[in-house]
Amino acid sequence: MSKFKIKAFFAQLLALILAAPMIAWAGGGGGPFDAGTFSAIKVGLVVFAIFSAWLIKDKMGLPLPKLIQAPLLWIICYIGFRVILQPPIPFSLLAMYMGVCTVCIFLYCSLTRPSWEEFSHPIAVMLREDHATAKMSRYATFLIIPGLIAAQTYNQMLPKFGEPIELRTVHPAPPASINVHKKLVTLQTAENPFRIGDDGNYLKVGDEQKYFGGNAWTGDVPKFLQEVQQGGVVFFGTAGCFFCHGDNLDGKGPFSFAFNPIPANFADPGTISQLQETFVFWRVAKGGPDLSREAFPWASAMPPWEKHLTTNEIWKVIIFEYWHTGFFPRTWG
Amino acid sequence: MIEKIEEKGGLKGAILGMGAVIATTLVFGLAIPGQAQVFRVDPAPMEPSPGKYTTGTFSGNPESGKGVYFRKCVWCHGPDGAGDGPSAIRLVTKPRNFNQGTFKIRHTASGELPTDEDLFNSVTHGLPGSVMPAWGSILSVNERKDVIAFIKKELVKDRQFDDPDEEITVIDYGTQIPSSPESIELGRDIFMNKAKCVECHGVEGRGNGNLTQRDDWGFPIFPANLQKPWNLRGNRRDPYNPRNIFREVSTGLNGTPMPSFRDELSEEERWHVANFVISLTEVKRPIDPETSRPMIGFVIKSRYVPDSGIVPDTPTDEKWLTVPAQFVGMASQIIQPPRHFIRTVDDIRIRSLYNDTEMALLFEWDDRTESHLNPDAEAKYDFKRLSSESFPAINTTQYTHENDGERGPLKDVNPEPVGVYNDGIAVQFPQVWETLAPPLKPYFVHGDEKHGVDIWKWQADGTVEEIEGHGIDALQVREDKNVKVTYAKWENGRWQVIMKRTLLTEDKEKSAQLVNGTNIPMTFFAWDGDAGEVGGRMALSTFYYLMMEPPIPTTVYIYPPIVFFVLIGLLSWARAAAIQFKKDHEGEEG
Repeated sequence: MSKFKIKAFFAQLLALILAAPMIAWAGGGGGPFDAGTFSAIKVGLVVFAIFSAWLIKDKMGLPLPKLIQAPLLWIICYIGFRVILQPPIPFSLLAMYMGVCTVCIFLYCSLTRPSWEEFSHPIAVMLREDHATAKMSRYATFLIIPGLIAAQTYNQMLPKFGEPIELRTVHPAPPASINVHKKLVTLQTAENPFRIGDDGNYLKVGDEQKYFGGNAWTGDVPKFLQEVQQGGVVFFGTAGCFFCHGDNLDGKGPFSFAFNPIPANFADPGTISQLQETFVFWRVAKGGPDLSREAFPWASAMPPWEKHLTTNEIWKVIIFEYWHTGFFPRTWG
Repeated sequence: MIEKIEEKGGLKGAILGMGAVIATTLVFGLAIPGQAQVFRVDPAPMEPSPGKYTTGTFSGNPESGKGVYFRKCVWCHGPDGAGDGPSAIRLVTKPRNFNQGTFKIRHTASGELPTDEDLFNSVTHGLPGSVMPAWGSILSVNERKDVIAFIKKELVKDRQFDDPDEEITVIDYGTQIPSSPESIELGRDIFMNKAKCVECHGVEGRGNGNLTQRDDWGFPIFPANLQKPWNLRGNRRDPYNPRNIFREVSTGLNGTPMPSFRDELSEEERWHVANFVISLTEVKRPIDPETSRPMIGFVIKSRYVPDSGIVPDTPTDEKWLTVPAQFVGMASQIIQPPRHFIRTVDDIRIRSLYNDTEMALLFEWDDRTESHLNPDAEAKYDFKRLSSESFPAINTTQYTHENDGERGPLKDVNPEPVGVYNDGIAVQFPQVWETLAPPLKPYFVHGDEKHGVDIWKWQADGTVEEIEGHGIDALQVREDKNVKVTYAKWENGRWQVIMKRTLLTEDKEKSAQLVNGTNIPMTFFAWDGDAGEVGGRMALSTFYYLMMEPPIPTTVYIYPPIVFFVLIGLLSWARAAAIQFKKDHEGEEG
């Protein structure tokens, strides 16, 4: 092996070693960055690390031995599918992808005779030769491979006692209509009676934007903000929603730690902004017990608020939630 | 030569393949969290450590701070900063009334105004144990600085931050003394004798000392439970750091009975106390960054006592140490009338053991008071609030509940100190849980009409009941006496109760049958009789699972060695084949 070749080998190894923690960091979502928020940067870094490894390889013009290349490629594929790909894919899909990868890598190693020989020669040497290096690697292989597999078998056989996996539907299909305080509310057509603009007319969804960030407490408070303020009083006072849903409506209230599923996070774009105002009205009025089976009504700590609040209070707390988070309800129009 | 080119082609193919993998990753990685990126204002939370302290002041824009205040803060602290927002009525640690300029968590001497950085850290990390959240992950640095500028300028009324008479002395951490058995022992002596911390905080620091004190605003205030440092207001989300304790011992908490010990104790002595206080939390449970409380696992493991062993009747038995105590989070029952907002039991620790005939649960929970039913006694916790008229920001009279008039307007919902009830603990399993197809369960608060629950309830007067539950107001005590409580003792602010039951019972319809190797849904309830807790006024948990670990089957120890030797055999066979192959080829070539 020439000096040049050894250098190239170590350069590649170094790049891959550098890449590994980055991959782990990117996948783990820990570190100073919140998971998701900076994922573009993370993925970019990982891509950069992997490509720099390949770049060094190309520049030096000398590839790693096939026997090292193949498992490395396999590991990189595995990390890619298992860790970097978000949301995580199910195990069956992972197994399928990795099966394809294995076949591809095998093909890549065995496509030509020299390539196959380069790949298999070290294995053959390890198996049959009797010089010191071959012997040492043989003993190591004969101990490590069966040892690892036996350990894996032991791990697999040990009884595991994890939490059962129960898949819950977060936003189940709403009923067509509900009866709240002896009045029928048709969810398709009902409107929030407190979407009232300065001119006293119904405020179309989106038009309330001008009130976002406004002061609902002091100065000349427009009608809409007065309703928002009263909704806030319901949220923090009458009903006490903040005990679970949090002072910032982010589902991190003082009692949220004790509940599972955790309270809804209205500050997340996946909740109230994806829902119609009437859907939220149904959830607030009827609470956990009215959920369908796939949404786990038995575990929801959401009270049926019709028992504690008036219809008007419920509509007001809903406009407060949209105002506070800066989202608009979903509309079909 | 041709083969060489082919090989290069293979390499390029592989690179292309990798490129495709990476491109896919990139697309998926960006597309899915992408939605969340658009709206989120999520500055990285500050390092959860008190870290290095600078006394630097900074400027913010009070005008824009006012906007932040009226969006985020007003709901608790009130439009005038008097701590009288709509939520205040139901909180035990009242929102800070800014008007007097009295702030608890500071680096300044007792009675002095805080530094800007103190206020900034309180906003950033929140005040754990109260409802003040950590705004560091919600408001940007500038928003936090602005809102502090607004509070200082407009809401602190009785004192002026720029008043030349308002001098501040910033305390010095000096040289931190690392924790050691000697330091902890010195700290213990100061805690017990010299500084008399024990009078309020109790012998084991659970805050079970003087419970009749009031703060500067006349609200009842209770000594901190030092064994739950995640609940200490000034922990800066770094609860096991003695610097927090050193600071609070040095400065005192303005407006509360907690004095400053800066003059009474030397710097070294304060470090010893800090080390002792941190040592009180024996198990330093890892803190969940999402909740700033200990991590919760939802499977309560029950360990098998082998060889027809006996499940112990007392908590001192060493067998209990074979299972770690598991942490169960408790919330107030705020769902159904009577809604209850101030539970004092915020967690329970559970251990469980079982043998071939019975299963035992060891409950441990902190409770400042030992309470036994006595209608004539005066409750030690005085939760009586100032009446709603003291909270002008919330005009509760307009919230008459026209649809269920009998509950009337929002009132002072905290229990009046009328009599003392029993302390209690209960665990609940679904009846005939074996027949409920997972994940179906009865409603977690005492079951529902369709699906009943089997509740085992112990009360401090010694009663042990097996109750059939079909909802919070449909409870019926059954005749059965399968559940036994073998140990129940309150000491230094902590209850220890051991509850036992036979694995199987005769009434298979009404009482839960305990079978190992499966997850059995369970829920916990707790009552503090001196805090007015009785019936539906209680602390409750969400669903947990009881998993009685089956004994490890012997096959686990047999198969792996077999696998090991078979594989060695296979490899040896491969070696023999390789040698044979080489021989044959040599023969051919020769």
